[in-house]
Amino acid sequence: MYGSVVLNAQGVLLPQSGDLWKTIFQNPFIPSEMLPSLHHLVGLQGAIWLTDNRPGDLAVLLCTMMNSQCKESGVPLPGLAEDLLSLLSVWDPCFEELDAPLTLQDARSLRDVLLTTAAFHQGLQELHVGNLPLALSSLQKAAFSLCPRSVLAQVHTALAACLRKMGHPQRALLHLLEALKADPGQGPPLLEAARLYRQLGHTTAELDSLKLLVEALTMPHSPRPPLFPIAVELLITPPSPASSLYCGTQSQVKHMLASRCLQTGRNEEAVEQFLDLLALLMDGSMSQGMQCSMFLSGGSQAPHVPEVFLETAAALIIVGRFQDSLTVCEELLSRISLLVPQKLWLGQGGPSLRPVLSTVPSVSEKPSEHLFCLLWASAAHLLQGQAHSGLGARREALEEFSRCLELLFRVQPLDRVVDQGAGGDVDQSLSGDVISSSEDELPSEICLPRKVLQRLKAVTLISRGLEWVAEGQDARALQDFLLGMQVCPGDRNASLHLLHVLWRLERREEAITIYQRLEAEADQEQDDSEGLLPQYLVSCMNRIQITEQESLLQELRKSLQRPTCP
Amino acid sequence: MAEDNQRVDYLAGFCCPVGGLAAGKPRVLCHESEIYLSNGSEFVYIYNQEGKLLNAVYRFPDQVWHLELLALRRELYVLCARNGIYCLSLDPQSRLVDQTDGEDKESDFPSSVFPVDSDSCVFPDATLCAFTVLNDIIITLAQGPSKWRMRLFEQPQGSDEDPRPGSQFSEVEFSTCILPSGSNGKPLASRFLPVLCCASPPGTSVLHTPWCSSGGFVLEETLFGLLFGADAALLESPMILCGFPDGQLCCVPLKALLSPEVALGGPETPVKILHHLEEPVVFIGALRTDPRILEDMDEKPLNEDTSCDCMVAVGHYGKMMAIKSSREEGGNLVPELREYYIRGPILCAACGVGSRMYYSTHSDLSVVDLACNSNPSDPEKIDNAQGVLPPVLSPASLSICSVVTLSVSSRAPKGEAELLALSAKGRLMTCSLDLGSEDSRPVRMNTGKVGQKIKELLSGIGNVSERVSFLKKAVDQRNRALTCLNEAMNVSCALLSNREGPKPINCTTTTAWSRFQLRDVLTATCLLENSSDYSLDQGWTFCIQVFTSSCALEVDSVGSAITYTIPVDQLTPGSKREVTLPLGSNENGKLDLPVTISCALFYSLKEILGSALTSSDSLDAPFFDDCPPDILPDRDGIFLPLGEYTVDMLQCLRFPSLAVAEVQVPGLPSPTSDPVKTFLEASRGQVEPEHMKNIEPMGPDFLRAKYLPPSVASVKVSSELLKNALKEYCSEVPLCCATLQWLLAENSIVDIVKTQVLTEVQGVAPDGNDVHLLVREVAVTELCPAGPIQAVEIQMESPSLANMCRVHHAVIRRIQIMIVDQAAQGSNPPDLRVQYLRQIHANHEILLKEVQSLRDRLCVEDDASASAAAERLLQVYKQLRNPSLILL
Repeated sequence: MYGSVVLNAQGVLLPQSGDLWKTIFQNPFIPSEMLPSLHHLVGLQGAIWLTDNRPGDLAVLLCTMMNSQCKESGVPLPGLAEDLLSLLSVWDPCFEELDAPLTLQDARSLRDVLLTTAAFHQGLQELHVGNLPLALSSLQKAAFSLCPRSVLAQVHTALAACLRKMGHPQRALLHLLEALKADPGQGPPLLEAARLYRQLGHTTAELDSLKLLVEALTMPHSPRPPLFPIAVELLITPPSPASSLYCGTQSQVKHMLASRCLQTGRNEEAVEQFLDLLALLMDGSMSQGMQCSMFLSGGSQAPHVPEVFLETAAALIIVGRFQDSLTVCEELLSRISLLVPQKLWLGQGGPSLRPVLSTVPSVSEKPSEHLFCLLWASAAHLLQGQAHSGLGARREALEEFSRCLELLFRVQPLDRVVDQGAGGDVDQSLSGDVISSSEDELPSEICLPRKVLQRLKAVTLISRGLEWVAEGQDARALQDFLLGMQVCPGDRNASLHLLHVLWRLERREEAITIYQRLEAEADQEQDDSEGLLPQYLVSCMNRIQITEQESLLQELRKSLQRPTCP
Repeated sequence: MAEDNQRVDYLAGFCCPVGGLAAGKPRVLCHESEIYLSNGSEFVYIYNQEGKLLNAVYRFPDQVWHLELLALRRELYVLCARNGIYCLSLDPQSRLVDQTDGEDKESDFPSSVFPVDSDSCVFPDATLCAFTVLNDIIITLAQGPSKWRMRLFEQPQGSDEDPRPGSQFSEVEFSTCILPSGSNGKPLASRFLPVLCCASPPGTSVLHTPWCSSGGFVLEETLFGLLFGADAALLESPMILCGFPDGQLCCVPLKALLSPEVALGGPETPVKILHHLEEPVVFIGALRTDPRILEDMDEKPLNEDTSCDCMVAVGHYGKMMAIKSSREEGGNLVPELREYYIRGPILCAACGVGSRMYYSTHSDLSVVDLACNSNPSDPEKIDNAQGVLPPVLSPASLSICSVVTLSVSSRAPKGEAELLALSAKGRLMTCSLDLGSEDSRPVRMNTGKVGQKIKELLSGIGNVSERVSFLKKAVDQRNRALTCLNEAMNVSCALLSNREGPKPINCTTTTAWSRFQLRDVLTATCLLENSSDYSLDQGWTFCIQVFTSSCALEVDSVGSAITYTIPVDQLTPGSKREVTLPLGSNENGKLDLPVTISCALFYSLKEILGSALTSSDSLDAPFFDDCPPDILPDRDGIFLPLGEYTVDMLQCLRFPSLAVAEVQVPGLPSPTSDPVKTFLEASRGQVEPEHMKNIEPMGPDFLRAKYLPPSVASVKVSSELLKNALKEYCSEVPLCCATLQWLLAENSIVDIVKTQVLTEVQGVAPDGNDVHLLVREVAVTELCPAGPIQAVEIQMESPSLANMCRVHHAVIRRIQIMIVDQAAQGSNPPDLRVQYLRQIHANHEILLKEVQSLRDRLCVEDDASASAAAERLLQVYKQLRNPSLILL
């Protein structure tokens, strides 16, 4: 019996290890000389169960053990809580006999390790679930127990995350300081600091933290060997990407840094970071290859490599480096143009290469990948068009925009009814609350490709319209703006541009109709629940924003009042 | 056809085991003029093709499973089973060149074999099953308890003398299932190793590095992107392809594994499943099928970085998968996947420079062409030929059998291909093929060429004759196996189909006492009689299983079973076979009655088919496609039960008092007769009357009679019932005698009982104790309101409780069978007095309860009270054995 428990504690698969333990402790006569070894074994079993994420089993075992001991010694049973942490802190392993064989790690030390690990695990779990007060108390227990520096840093980071979510940024900062003091080389506290500063609105500090994080991740991380054979750091499972202790790879952080720079308007810096990242990614040598891992890991949160290209190009356009932007887009197009489909049907079940409803795509084809390739390629053409336009090469710009539209209109709706209702597919997209809950996850959630497709069409049509305006071909411009309005009904930009041209052409009647519709729409909808647009698309949209929007609208309002007043 | 423009040269012979080399483990690599070869044993040979001599032989601690050559670094990586990966430096100065000439090593090893010591083991890991090398990275695949684990290591650094293991980058697990483990708990996977190789996107300059990886290839950009996604294509990450024995074809981007994070095996593993072949993957490779590339071949020779546009994977039983990018009607580029079936089992395969794949089965080496321009008669096909795979494959035979490993040599001159092959008999050969076989036309030969031609023809003849003899043997074996199977099926049908009536093959069992080696032994004789139309031939086994019941008197004793298997060499229709076995040959020589003998016929599939299967794994045709030999365990076969027979006390009783004339049973009264004991007893018998006249006779019989009254049991059966059941016995003799006859029907004494009209017999049990059987008629009065019921009482008596119990059991068993028979015929019992029955029943219930409590007390109490309890228990049992009930 004891033998099989030993086997079990070693992780050899035996059925119902819990039952074996129960049998042992139900035995009324456990020889007293056996007890120290038995406690030792309980400690080992606990270590295994904690790494297997079975804290409940451990709690039951401890309960059984203590009950049997109390019965034996005649001491009245103290009111034992079911809680694993309190059970662990109550547990007092017997001292070994003096003549017992030398042990590497006694049961007491095992107990301490288990206590710290259990408290840390529990705290992280509650933090993940959102049960913040409980998380806080568990993590504090872990912080007060003996644990190695690297773990202590993690505990403090988790505490900081917890406090940040509870709305105590100052206390969170103190814990982050503690974490950095405990183990200066660690990434998670720096990332947590970046999140905290972002929440506080200290952009400079946030970006500085991210830069430090990049530095920290470049340094080789060699963990100190643990003091004991069974130590807390060995029992702690590495953080999953969803955990607040996960800080990603260097390239991932670099990408975040670059995007944040772009979002906060530090365009020059963003460009530097993006170019750096691209160089890092495209470096052919294998030793640098580790930078790519996040992009290939197949995770849903990881951005795709082509998006990094597109964001780089967009940033380059913003800072006026049009030629470089063209090169980046060229590079991307050369790699993915082969994969762009000639025709694609987009139904409710997702994209498909055939105009048949509800076909199960064969294993070897990946229709969503086809759709993505198409979106990326068209976005590259759009950016190229904008770059040409920035260079003043209107003909080339028009060409690129048309090419982009050609690509975008390759996608055909499978069932028009569904496609016309723009918001009809919210159910399968990421709804708003998902986004708000995942605010501190690394990459921001991107909305459905279907929305991106719509927006891309609208943006391209408007861009081409603007080119026509510059060329002086107002009729064509009007046509494009009108089409843009139809393609993406919620988009105010197209309407405003249309309004602008109509007003300039003195076609007041039409202008007023459109203005009225615009006003009506502005009242009823603020439809931003469709998720975030990709960064490159956002910066494209910023470029086509109408500059004199307010003056135009005021003029319109005035002209509306004039006929009514007299 | 193909023979016309092919040339086979034997280079050398290597030792091979008796059954020939098994496929899967041998490897042969070729670099410049050196051939690196492992034949599945623990040796690695380096052979020089130019000098035709063996340069070196290395001996590893266990079987060698895989070789990879790093040509420029001059290092050979060797995977040694259950040890790990070794790194051998091939530098001439560090290796002693062994100059044995070619003739010696035909049969024997060269005089000096270099043992490889564990110092050069750079990746010690007993579970490693495969590895491959790409750039500076070594990728290994190990078998875990339930999963495959892939690990990436940095290339070992350090000097040649002291290679240090490189550090590990990461580890990833594959969730593919491992094959069921074998009978001894060891995984069976060692029969099929996983296949590992790398597919690189074009332009990654992977193959310019000083690594000569045997399994790597460059895939065309489009196909690479379609198969592995835009991210992998953009990052130019080579993909690691794994083919597993369960048929899965997985891919992992190499660059994804180079970061430590993935090693943690989080939820987002980068592993993708490309396809499932549903049979062990034996080969993954790539081809260049585009006719334009093939046309270019004439102008500039293809080298290895010319990218391939078609990926293939081959399964052991002949399923083959090819993927190529193609343009569908809409103009979209899609990967086109096609599955082909070629004749398996495939031993090994290799891809040529162009569009040809070579594969080997037991009977032939074949070549298939995956280029699609082979059918010019169909113009429509040509139109969209780009990217379309041929609908069917037409393999061409190269007439070389049993090649276990194959590699395509890069040394071949333009327009030719040179294959390097190792046959199952251990012969290393090169096979040169003329690729432009279409325009081969007869040329006038000069004498030199004629000599060469004759040499080629001769070697061709040798090769063909080897192949013919192999094929003939295989066919013979298959025919024999089929004939045997057919007969077995006939016999099984005959035995299983007609359940009514006598079986066409039956087995009758009788028992008799006989004397062996001064001991009386009860023997059972089983007579197997074949009255069917089929003869039982080799492969059939007559199984007799003797179950000994557990001894009821000892707690915890478990019944044992002995199985006798007698091969039935040949049992023609109408013939018989008799088998006599001793019974009761347990450890102490005692006979634990009752004994059950069950007879059966067993036809072992392994024995008959096994030879046909192993001799070839063999028959080239998918003879056992659904049932590969591994799945046929030793015990598989056809099992036909023939019947059961129970030997109980009534059959073993001997009647020395009756059988004076007929049954001369020597050695009685004690069957375990010891001459000394006999003598002592005899002398005591003589002495006693003189010396002990005055005292009471103190013989054991008397003592027993006084202190140990014989145990008695009785059974009452209604006469009505017995009369009905024993009609055939009752015709001439009274009912009591008929009953006794019926009870002793299987005893040799039955004739005497019949002739002497006995109703009472005194017999001797196998252990020497007396057994008394008495049958008399009684009338049972209280039971029936209509009047007394006539009944027959069978009374059993023996001084030994155990024997009495055995007899009781035997009698009860017979009565049970009889009653079941009678109940089937339907009989109506007379009216009974229910009240009285209830009374008896209640009495018995009380007794039974007492038994239960007494038995419980026996277990817990100490000796003194236990003996009291035991005594009481015996009394209760006694009461129970003499029920006032009657069987109606």
